[in-house]
Amino acid sequence: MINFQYARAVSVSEAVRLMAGTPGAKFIAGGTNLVDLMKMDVERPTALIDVSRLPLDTVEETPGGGLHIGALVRNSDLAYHPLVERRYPVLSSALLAGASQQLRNMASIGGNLLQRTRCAYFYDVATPCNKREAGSGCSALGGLNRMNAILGTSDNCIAVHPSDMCVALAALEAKVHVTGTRGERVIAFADFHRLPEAEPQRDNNLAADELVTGIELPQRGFETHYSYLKIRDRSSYAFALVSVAVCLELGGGRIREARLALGGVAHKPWRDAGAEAALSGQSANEATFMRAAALVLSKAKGFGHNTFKIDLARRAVVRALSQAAGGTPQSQSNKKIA
Amino acid sequence: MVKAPDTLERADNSQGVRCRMVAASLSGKAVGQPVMRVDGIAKVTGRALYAGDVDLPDLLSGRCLRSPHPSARIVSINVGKAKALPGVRSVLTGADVPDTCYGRMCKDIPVLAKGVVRFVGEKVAAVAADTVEIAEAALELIDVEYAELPAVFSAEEAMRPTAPIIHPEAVEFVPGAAASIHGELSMYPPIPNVISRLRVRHGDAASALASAHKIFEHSFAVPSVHQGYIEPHTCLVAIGRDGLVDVWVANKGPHIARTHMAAAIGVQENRIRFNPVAIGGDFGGKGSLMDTLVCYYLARAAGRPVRMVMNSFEELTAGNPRHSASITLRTAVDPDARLLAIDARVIFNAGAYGGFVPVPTLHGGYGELAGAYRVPNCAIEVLRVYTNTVPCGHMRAPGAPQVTFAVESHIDMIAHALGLDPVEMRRRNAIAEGDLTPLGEKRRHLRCRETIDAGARAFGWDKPKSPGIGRGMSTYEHPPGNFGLSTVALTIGIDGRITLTLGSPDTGTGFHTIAAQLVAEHFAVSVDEVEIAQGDTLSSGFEAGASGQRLTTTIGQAIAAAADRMKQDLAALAAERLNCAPSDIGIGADGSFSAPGAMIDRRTLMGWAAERGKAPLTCQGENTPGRHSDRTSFVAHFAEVAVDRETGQVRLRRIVTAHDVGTVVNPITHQGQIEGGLIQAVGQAMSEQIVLKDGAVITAHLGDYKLPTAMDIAELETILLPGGGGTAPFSTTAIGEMSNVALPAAITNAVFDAVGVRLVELPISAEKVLEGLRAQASAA
Repeated sequence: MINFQYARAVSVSEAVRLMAGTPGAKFIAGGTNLVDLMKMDVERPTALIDVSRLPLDTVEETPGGGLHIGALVRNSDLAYHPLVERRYPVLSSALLAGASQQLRNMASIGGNLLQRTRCAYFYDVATPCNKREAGSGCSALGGLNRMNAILGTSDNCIAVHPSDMCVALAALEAKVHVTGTRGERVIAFADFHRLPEAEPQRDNNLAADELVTGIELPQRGFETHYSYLKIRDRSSYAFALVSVAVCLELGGGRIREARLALGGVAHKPWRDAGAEAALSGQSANEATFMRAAALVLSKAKGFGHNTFKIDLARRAVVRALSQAAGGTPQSQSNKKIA
Repeated sequence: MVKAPDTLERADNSQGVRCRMVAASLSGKAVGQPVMRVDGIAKVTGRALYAGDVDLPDLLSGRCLRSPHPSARIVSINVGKAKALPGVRSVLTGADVPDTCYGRMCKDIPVLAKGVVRFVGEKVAAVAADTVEIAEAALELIDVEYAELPAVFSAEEAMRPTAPIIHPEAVEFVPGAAASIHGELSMYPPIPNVISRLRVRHGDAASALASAHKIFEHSFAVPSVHQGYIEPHTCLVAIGRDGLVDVWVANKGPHIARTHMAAAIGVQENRIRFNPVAIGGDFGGKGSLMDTLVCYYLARAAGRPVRMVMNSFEELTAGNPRHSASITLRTAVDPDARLLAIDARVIFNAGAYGGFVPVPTLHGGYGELAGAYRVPNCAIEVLRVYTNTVPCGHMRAPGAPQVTFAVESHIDMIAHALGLDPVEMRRRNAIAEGDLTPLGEKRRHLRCRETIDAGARAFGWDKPKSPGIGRGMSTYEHPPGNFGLSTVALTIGIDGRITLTLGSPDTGTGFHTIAAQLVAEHFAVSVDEVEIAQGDTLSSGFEAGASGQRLTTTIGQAIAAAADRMKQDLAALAAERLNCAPSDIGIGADGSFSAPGAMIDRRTLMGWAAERGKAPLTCQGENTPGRHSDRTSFVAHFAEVAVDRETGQVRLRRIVTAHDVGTVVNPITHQGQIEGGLIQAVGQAMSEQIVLKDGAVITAHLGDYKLPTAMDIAELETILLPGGGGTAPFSTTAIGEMSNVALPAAITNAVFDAVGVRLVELPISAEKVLEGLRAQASAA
């Protein structure tokens, strides 16, 4: 690890000001991803601006009937928050599927959003990686890419966004509150993370000086018909091969509204408006689910070791939709069974 | 003397574990008792001293620069900038260390690379500095120019005539170590890159195969895995003003390590002292010197003590993991499904150096091949092959998990092809009293069938099951180790307390507690009256160390010998005090000494002896190693899985493990060995794999190298078959390498039972299961 400066911010405005005035600085809260990256020599920030003591650690109901979650709420605290468990069980389920208990106890909600995408070569500084060093090349394209993306890839990068929580937030259509030197703004969840395109070094659309201050959940939580399905190599502390968040509203045997998001398949939580539209108004049966799944994966592309994920994702979408439609009870504390 | 009841029964169903054990003529105070670990409090309160805890004045930190290439010539190394960095105290390259190569059998590992590198992660240069951070900064300032050379990664490719030769020069090996127990062993035979080839024959497999009713041939592959110990390789070397070399190292066999170090650095053995430290897990991986030699040279160059600790990245990329293997089995059966002959070819990928293992062939790789079965004709060929990958070492029953995965899958596949139930197939072929082993050896107390039956009964093998549920079994046989010298000293103090001095660390298995129980049992006292003193290599007698599940057997014999001498000496003292003949002295249930009409307790006796200059009293004891135990043990595992046909996910639901045991010294540590071994096997079966790409390890992070978590562990029931028969004192056998070997095949056999997909390559993964289902669908 190399030397760096450290400063602790006492207010959001100070944090933002410090960041704007310190080229190469990074915010640090739980540190569960950043410290790892620093140890592996992937990130070399000139300064760490500690935001962990800012008063952003509350969960409050909004006037519109939704929920505002402070960026510094711990992943564990949010997963077990009574309002989240009751009204947004898909979010609770996704949170508990993520990382390990120890990491969830440390990790903040804002940090979860901002964790870097995953790829073995991004972490291996001995290999070329466009995300680490623009233009150096992508080692994953012809390398061991079992965990890598199958949707929304570019010739420059096939890394995946590994968050479970974000897949559920995408399905719930959360909003991200951020503050920068030019003031506050609200970003729709779908616009927060980005695809690699020609700039894989950028994981999201935040400006350099912007700090995530909170997440807003709309009023609708889909607490009856939901599923978070995660397929992985071991039951804890493993990223998804594929994950699926589904939220459904049913009426009269038909799907009134469907939300569908995938994790572990792209550089961002993956939503497909076409597939959701194809579900809407249809009978909640396997044929419908298979059509939707086929639509989601119609543009998927495998890179050898990860090609199996296309079919796996298709099956996972069908399974998650079936679970959600059936109102299959899901254990929030035991994610042993997907 | 109070006689313990002949049968002790224990039931503890709180963990779903059932224990039964038998012990004869025990005091009821020590052996057989669930004694708390003697080092337990020190370990959980942080007082136990590990190598990384040792602090010395002027201590420096050492780090190594490692090769990024799998095969390259070192054109030049420039260390000028690194040496100039403030806080750097010594910088070494291959040119600064002697040409001696190190190895436990093949002496082929240089201290630092000399002119060539042979794997990604090989040590090229080393720095000792005031802090780890300075040392790491210095590594970045070292310029190395490499000229890349052709590399080869698979053992099969490395044996081809056109393959690059990884060690073109002759490699020295320890001739004694290369002596083979069985068959015909050739070191460095004329096959490219082959370190050793062992051919073992019993009967006439070729003829049996030529005339057989049916022949089955299958091939299997098992990847390399890491031992997964918590404490990384750590060492600390300090050279005293008098030249005495002090070493603190996480090593399971300090006496042997000291011998190897002395030979490598050219210092007499009695001028090197390996100091006692606790070991944070070994599983076979802590038997080599690893960084100790480079640490010594750094300390010598800097004139200050140096500590080196490998980080988890180095452990996963450049430790000494289990060998990957490919195994082909050809088996002949008669019309009654009886095994007539097995022809086995086992290829172990050794990596770039062979020096981390002490034997030419991975012992378990052939010794227990099909040992649970009666196979009259057997032909085995075992090859260990150099490749440009991380050098492999020992891991818990070296070679056996790989070969047993193959054998126990193969037996299942034959049973299926013949339309036989897997249990019936194994029962029919189980070795029984009077049979020879496949290698032609005589063994006794052969309870293979009884072990299988006990497990099958507890598991409910015959009970109906739901769709998607599969059941599988596997079995394995292995005797306790009775090799290598053990020397101990027993001292009885003037306060009557007994101290056992031994040269073996407790690698985390609980062995020091076992040793204390064995000592206490000889004197019919409570374990509280026994101290364990782990001596340094100057103050303790020679000890070959933890290996091949030998310690309870070998140190057990040494303790018995010392205790016998001690009892004679004490009887003589008591006789003198009580005015009778030594033969009239008896030891009471409370540890006191009695003669007709008189009695004296140990403490009073020792006080009396001390006044006469006859206490404390010390007696040495040694074992008589060399003869392989003819009392072997069997294990049968039963696994139940649920397989999701849509997602390919396999969930391990339940394990029943049945063990044919001797006297259980400590039911807690015994069960700990069984459970720990099974969990290690779950890892090998379901998630662990060192993944390499062009020789570089990709799974270099504990997030990517997937050890099983608590949530991955199934419900477990343990069945212990009482019966004793052990050849060691108190009729013990061994448990350390019994549970971790055969389980993976039970799990893959269960997957086959559930969905008809046969996995011949570990670990199980969603895509392998899905691929199997797809192949099945397209065939239908």
